[in-house]
Amino acid sequence: MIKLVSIVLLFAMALTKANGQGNIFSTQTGTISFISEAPLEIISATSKKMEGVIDATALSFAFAVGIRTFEGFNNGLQQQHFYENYLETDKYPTATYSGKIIEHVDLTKPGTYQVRAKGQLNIHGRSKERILKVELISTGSEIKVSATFLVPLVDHQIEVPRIVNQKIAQEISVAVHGTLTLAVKP
Amino acid sequence: MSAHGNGKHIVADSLRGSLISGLLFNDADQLFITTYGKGIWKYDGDTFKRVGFRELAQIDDIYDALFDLQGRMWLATDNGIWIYQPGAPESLSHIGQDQGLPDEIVTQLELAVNGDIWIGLYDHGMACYTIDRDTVVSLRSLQTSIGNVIGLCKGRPGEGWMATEKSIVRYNQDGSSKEIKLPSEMKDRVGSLLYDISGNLWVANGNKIFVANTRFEFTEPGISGIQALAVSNNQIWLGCESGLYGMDQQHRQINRYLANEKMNILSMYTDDAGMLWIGTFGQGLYCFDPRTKRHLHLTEKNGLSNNSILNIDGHGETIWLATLGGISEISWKGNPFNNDISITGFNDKFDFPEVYVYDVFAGPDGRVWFGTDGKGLYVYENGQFRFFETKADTIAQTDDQPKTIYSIAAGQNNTIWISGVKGQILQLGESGEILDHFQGNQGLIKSLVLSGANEMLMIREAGIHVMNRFGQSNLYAESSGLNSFTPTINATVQDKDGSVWIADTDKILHYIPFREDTHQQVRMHLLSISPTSLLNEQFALLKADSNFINIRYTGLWYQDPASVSYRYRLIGHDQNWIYTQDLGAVYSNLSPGQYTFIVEGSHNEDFSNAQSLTRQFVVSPPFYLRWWFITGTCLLITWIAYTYITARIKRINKLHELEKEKTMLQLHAIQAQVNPHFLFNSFNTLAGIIEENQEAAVDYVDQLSGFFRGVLTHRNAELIRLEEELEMVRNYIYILQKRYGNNLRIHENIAHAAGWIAPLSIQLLVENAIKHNIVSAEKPLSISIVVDQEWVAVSNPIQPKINASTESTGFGLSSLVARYGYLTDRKIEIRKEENTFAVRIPILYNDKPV
Repeated sequence: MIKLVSIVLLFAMALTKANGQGNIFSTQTGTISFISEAPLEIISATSKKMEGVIDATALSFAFAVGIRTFEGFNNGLQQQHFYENYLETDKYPTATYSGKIIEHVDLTKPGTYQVRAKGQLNIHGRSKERILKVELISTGSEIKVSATFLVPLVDHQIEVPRIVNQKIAQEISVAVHGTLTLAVKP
Repeated sequence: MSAHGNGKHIVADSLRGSLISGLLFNDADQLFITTYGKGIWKYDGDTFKRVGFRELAQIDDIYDALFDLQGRMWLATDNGIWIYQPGAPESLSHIGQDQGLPDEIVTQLELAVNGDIWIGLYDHGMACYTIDRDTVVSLRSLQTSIGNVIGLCKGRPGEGWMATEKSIVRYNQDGSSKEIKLPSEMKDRVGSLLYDISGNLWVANGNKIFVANTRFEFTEPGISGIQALAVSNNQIWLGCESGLYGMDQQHRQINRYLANEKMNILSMYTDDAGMLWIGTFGQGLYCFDPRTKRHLHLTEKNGLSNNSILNIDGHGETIWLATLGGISEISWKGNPFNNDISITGFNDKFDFPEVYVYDVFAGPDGRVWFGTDGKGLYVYENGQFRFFETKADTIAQTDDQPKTIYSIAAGQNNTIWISGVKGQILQLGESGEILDHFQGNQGLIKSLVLSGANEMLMIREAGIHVMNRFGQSNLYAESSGLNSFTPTINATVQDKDGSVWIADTDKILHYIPFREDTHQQVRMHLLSISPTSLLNEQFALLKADSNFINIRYTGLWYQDPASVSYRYRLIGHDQNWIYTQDLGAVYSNLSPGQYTFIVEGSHNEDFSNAQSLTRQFVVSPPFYLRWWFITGTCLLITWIAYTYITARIKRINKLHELEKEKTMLQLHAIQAQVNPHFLFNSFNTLAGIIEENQEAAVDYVDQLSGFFRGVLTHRNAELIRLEEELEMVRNYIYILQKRYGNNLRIHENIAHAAGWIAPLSIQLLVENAIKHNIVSAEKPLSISIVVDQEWVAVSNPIQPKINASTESTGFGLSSLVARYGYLTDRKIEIRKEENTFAVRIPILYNDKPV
């Protein structure tokens, strides 16, 4: 976990440096859940340990979650398969999404913003550029993030054995919620 | 990154790792490369430099780019459209939401023919920048669920195609647009879109490519049994088994008309005033006014020839009906609803029998044509009605008159096309001569109809054959979506815009002629050829022993690759074309000569306009057929023959001479042996011996006779064994020694007595020695005979007689030398030293010569 935090912080710091002074919003307790709705089985799991930063000045962002922090599943064996066989958490322990916000919005001003985030979604070690629709509700000191999107397995080379094809959906729907708070300026 | 331009290989390491989204050349032939990730780069002839003009430096992701007609570069980015003017002065302008762009993420740009720019947006479909108003308008917004625009392309003039990941939309200039139903096989995301010069729309989908033929538009009105079509009042009229329907051209909405009339419609015709004339099966003729919805009903009671009307055509205020019982002519003045209709039956007027008439066609030149069942073609011209005789011609290769004619259509220059049984189509000139002949093997022709682009459409069961005015034909069949195509006979109509509507029982096809297209050819490509000297198209010269020719080719016809067939021919070898589906031809053992290989590909088995691939070569004659070889060989043979003959002559002469020499020698030997002196001396000796010792005398006579026997036996032989010669010489020496006693001493030193020697040669030498030297008590003569491996040497000291023997002719030795000259290369050696005379004769070891 410490490793993960440091990656995100390094990224955030890099952004801050590049822009001189930034309004950095961050969280370490974001919620991310996924649901796979296959004909024979519905699998869902949630992690409450998603970390994220948004630089309101540069309109850049970075989010990360440790795959092993997901909880839920229908049974322990399923969870083990999810970790070891499909996402290979030993090799690829985290999923990340980082990039820029396309719309030119001022997140330091309170308001609700529908934006599109464009960035590299990295799951299972494979990156895919995605433009995701995100709702941002800012109070000036806090930003509530919520987004739902689909992750096609094929985009990230997640291979599912044919025998369980009917149990795992080809497109996994993912929902993200989090409240990012403005870091105290040093 | 590397690029090929003018054969130059440019390496741009600075672009490595980023996606190239566009390669653009402006009018000044400058190369610009737009990337997705690293902005825009300019090639200055040596290196690539990133364009860093103002905000461009910050733009990394460029989705698409193009040069507009003013030479400005349009860039599609996440931040709207940037318009960059590369030349001096450099300038940059921006189109974003403030300028009316519905969405700032611009994914596609397409330059329309008129200079407008079509804009594909991530979330809001398609917009357009109109050049004359300098504004952006939204052309078609899409529901966000459909996805972002990933492809834009021009279609027909005024038409555009737009693809999102999950849909394809056709947009028309008039603002209408239509989402195309994607086939179920398109499971993946749409990747790219392309519209080709022949009107095919290509769609990349996953790892597959789909092609759509946009010449045909299909409508399924939900009615079956469509048997006739007409166009009037902006509606397509469908004549069905169940009655009359009108279909809105724009919205494809169907309404039923004359619902109270029970009518099974077989034929329809729109007159110049827009009235719809409807021919039914058994229910006579209707006239329907689409505007007022009034109608008129005429039957046999009103004077029609028959109530079943197969076809209607007309001019102005006259129509003709092709019925199951002959022909009727109907004419009116002004408005047919005003009861001044006159009906004339051709049965009465021209005594035309009550036969089936399948088609009536009022040609543009005023002639009206009738195709009958079994009676052939009739023409009605200037009030005259007559049988139209076709003049049998070599083109059709048939003497038969076409008896049954299903369909008639106009050709160019007052010619007509008729279709008969078995898919036969004839083009007839003004006086009935057959100008062209077309034998389709794709089934019965259901109708012939002309499109506005002077194309002849032959509607068949298997598909639609379109022949353009250049005679090029194209078959649209299953691969164009015409599967289970069962068209109704003569259920076609040409629309005002030149398009053609065709009924297919429960479907309606709309054929829209494409801009004049002469590209409908299978493109031939050479895959491989051996020998490789045939790779270039120049005349190749092949050696006689390397004329195994293997040519592999392919024909590109992406619309339907499986339909391509080939024909090839090697002129100089093949008498006729070879028709095949194979992708190769092999020839071997070609005799010397000049050849031309031609292969053509066709997608419809019509090779008349096929593109061909040719190779010309000469197989050179083998060296043994070249002039120089033949001449050389003749010369050589002459020379060999000459040499042989001369040698032979020489040899014969030599043999002849040898024979002569031998004869002479033999003669001489005999002469020598029967020399009276020899005999006299021998007999004197014998006389002396007889008295002294009778036994010795007997012995002497034995020796003498043995010597003569030897002479007689061997004188004719060319060679004798050395032992035999030595035996004979011993006999001779015995005789001599009886005479000379101790005065003659013979030293024999015979180391080896094998091989062959000329007969009487040693004897001759011994005889010569005695003949030329003194043999006396004071001066005894000692003759030594030495035989070794190779030579017989006879030597004696020289003690010349004072009166040299007069009988010596010197012939003996020289003839021996001459004889040896024929027998061997080794010469007889004669050495005359101060006091010794020695002769060495070679011993021959070869097998005895014949």
